[in-house]
Amino acid sequence: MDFVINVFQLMIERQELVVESLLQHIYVSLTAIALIAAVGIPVGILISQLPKLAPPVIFLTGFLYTIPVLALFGFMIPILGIGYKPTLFALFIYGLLPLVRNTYVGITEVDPFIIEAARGMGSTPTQILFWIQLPLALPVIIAGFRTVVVMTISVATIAAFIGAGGLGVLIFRGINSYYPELIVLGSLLVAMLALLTDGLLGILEKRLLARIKK
Amino acid sequence: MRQKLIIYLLTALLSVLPGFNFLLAQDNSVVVSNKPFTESYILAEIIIQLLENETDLKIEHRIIEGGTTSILHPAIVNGEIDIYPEYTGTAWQEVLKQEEMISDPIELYYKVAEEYQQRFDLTWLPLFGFNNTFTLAVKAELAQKENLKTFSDLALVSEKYIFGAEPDFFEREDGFDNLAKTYGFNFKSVKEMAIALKYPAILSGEVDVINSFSTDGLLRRYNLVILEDDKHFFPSYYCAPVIRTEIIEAHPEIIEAFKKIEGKISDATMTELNFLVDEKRMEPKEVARQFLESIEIL
Repeated sequence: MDFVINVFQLMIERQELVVESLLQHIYVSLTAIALIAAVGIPVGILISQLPKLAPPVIFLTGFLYTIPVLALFGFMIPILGIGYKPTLFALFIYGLLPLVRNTYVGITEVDPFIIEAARGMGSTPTQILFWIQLPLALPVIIAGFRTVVVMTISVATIAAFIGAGGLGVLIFRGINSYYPELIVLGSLLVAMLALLTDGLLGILEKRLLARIKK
Repeated sequence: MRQKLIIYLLTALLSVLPGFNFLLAQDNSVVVSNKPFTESYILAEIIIQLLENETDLKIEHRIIEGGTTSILHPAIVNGEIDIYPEYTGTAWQEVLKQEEMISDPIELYYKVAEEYQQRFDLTWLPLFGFNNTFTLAVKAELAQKENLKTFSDLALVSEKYIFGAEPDFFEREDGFDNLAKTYGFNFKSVKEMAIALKYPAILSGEVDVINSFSTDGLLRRYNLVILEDDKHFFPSYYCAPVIRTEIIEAHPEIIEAFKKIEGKISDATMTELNFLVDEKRMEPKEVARQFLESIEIL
């Protein structure tokens, strides 16, 4: 119990650091998520329309996903330096796989009979994509997006490692100065931020899907 | 209703605005960084407060939690940071890749400074005064049981014990391989772990011997004993701020500022400052301030 009180006290004592780290964390996560969505969804759509491209693209995103982040930082310093840029790059390549794959799977798994029916009624491929496939794939795409959001917020902890700040600062500093309360505080804030955002997206998702069904 | 909402939102936004400072370009400020351990945090705060007090420069503290030499050195060469505390022995071996051993600490300092100037356009400012060299530490009980005083004593019984150190230590020229060769260590096993996990590991008995820094405030807290490097294997690690030469050319007052604290931090002082942060949970900023007040800089 004392420990919990200590954690809360620490949060109040280090308010300035906590607020700054939280804002940095939100900033780096949000920009990374926006970038992932801006690239991941179009790429997913593209490879669903060009089936030959799908295996190499999914292999490539899968390959990027497996590079250990510390190794990545190590050899990127001469190119991207330290701070915000390498962090954004790392988060981007980690978030790409779930979103590209979900978009691709969502679209290609749409019942072929529905597409056949649409074609029979004279729809062009573009119309089929935008009026049939994408709306039907939306729940799968959103599921992928939510995975990316939660993952990115949690992985953004490594931003601190390379000087981009964020809640990882609290965690790393806790580890480096043998301060368990600080580690717990940082971790709790990351978890809360991820869960809150995910909850919010859940609500938005319900509204969006309800709207489409109408 | 909507107007009220907008006003609320604006107020909320404005109240968190200072937190977004990091978004603004801070081109003309001097960027201070440090290595990710207590001592280096304290030194960074000393550098910051000294510069804020003695010059009109704008100072920014860039915290890089993964900032070992292999990250900080490229960063300072690229101009992404401007100044950080470095150790002569580390610079000589890890950065300059020199194999020759120089036992005179002052000679080492001058040679390192000369090479840095020529190769990287970086300047070594005056030494802080302490020598934070590597050493080996064991639990006090173990030292007593085996009657360990020196590294050579340990070598006689090393096959019974487990050694732990951070990955860095297995890479460096003055690291594990050459150390083991010099003393004939033959440990039962060897474990790699993060710097900060070494102390919990030796306490819980996961490892028996760790490498350690001679000014480490935690040695005291955990009741560990330092052994003597009787063959003088480890070079000296005197510490000084390294700064981009460009910056001191534009602001020569920086050198004057650092001359004021030259040699003012002895081994004992540094150990004490580390202890205040690690054990007494004081903020590095506060510890640095008290130190600068004690030598009448602030």
